[in-house]
Amino acid sequence: MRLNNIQIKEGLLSGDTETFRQLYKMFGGLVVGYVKKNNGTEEDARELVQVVMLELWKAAKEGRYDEQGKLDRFVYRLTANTWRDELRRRKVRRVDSLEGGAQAVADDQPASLAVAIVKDQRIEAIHHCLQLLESPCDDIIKLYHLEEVSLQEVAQRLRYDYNNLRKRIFDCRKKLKKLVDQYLKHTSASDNFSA
Amino acid sequence: MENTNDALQEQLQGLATGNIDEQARLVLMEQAAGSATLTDEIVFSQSLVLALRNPDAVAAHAKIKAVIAAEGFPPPPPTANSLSKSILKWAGITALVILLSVGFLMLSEQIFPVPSTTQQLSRTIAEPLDNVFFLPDGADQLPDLRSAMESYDSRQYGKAAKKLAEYVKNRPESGVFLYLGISRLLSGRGAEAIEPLRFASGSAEPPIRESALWYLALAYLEQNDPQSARQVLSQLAESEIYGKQAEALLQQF
Repeated sequence: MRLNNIQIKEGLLSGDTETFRQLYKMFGGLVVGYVKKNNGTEEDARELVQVVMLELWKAAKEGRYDEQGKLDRFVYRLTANTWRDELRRRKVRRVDSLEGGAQAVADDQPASLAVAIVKDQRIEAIHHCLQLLESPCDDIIKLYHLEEVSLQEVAQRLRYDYNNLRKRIFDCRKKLKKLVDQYLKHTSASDNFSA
Repeated sequence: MENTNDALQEQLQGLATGNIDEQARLVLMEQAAGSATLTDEIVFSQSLVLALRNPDAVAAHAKIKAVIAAEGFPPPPPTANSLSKSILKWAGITALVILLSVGFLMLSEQIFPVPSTTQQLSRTIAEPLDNVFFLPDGADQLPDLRSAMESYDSRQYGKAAKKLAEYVKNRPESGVFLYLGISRLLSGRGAEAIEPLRFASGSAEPPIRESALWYLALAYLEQNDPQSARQVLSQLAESEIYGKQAEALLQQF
């Protein structure tokens, strides 16, 4: 059953999988077609479909999508603008490497959140593996990296010796990185197998 | 990398959260250029902060990926339902136009000026374009443009047109010309809508160009110039969004 715009918005707000499925069927072809007509590869198109759907989700969450408007036009403009931004970013990176610039790490032009999440497989892996981290690593990492509490205050809250905490936070990051590497290896192997 | 260096930990955290001064950032970047391990630590910190701060977005992306994996890539073509709905929609608009035409004919011509068929068509079809993304980068930093688009969003098209006309005097941007033309058209100033829409239709960006052509066609219809409208609509034949609408509209006059 095809959803109307109001149902789509509600589905997006609740992160409903069936809504994503319908959106993929309705607009996936449009996005792929646009990318391919504008110098993109199939891999580019695959990424952009994900970015556009995530941007649409974000627009619904932030109140930027008004379900009374034309959804197909909204998606079309999202596609065009996102692809244009991607081509601009690639142009800047090419110029930087031609000029012998330093390896782009944090110096890369800031991409949107959706682009960052789609392109960096580590983010999803970290999200998954954080749930596997046991106490106190999960508390330490959330307090320090999410709530931006200073090391001294983390030590106070968790009743750790400050010097021990300094080593512990490094160990927790190392543990998390190991879990992430294993997760990525496992998912990459599954992708190859299913392909 | 065995590292219990407080300062470095704090800097990695600062870099990932954007709370680092420029000097310290440059020093860190320089160090990273010579150290694969440090680069890896920096990138990991950035990914970690993003994952922690946006769990809902990451979860949504996981669902999207699962859908694509289940449905297959590339996606299936749109179903016939959407085409038949489009036909039904245009049939409905035609019926409405006929009804409106009969209704207008029954009124006294001396009291109410009777719009022509092409004017009726234009006024029935013209809808505001969503205010999304066509605006120049950093548009939300421009108070005068923001004010203009606030008027647009609250359907005060006359006010929006006035403010946008002021803005483009110093910044002749296609996206802004597009909204200026639309605002004038929707506030009953079809003749003055043509020039800005013509300008916007020369844009290199397909969404701006195609939207401008669509509204330009409607402006020509409002001005009882169906020949120019036909010429413009024929340029939309290949458009993914406006192609079918343009084709259907061409059948109406």
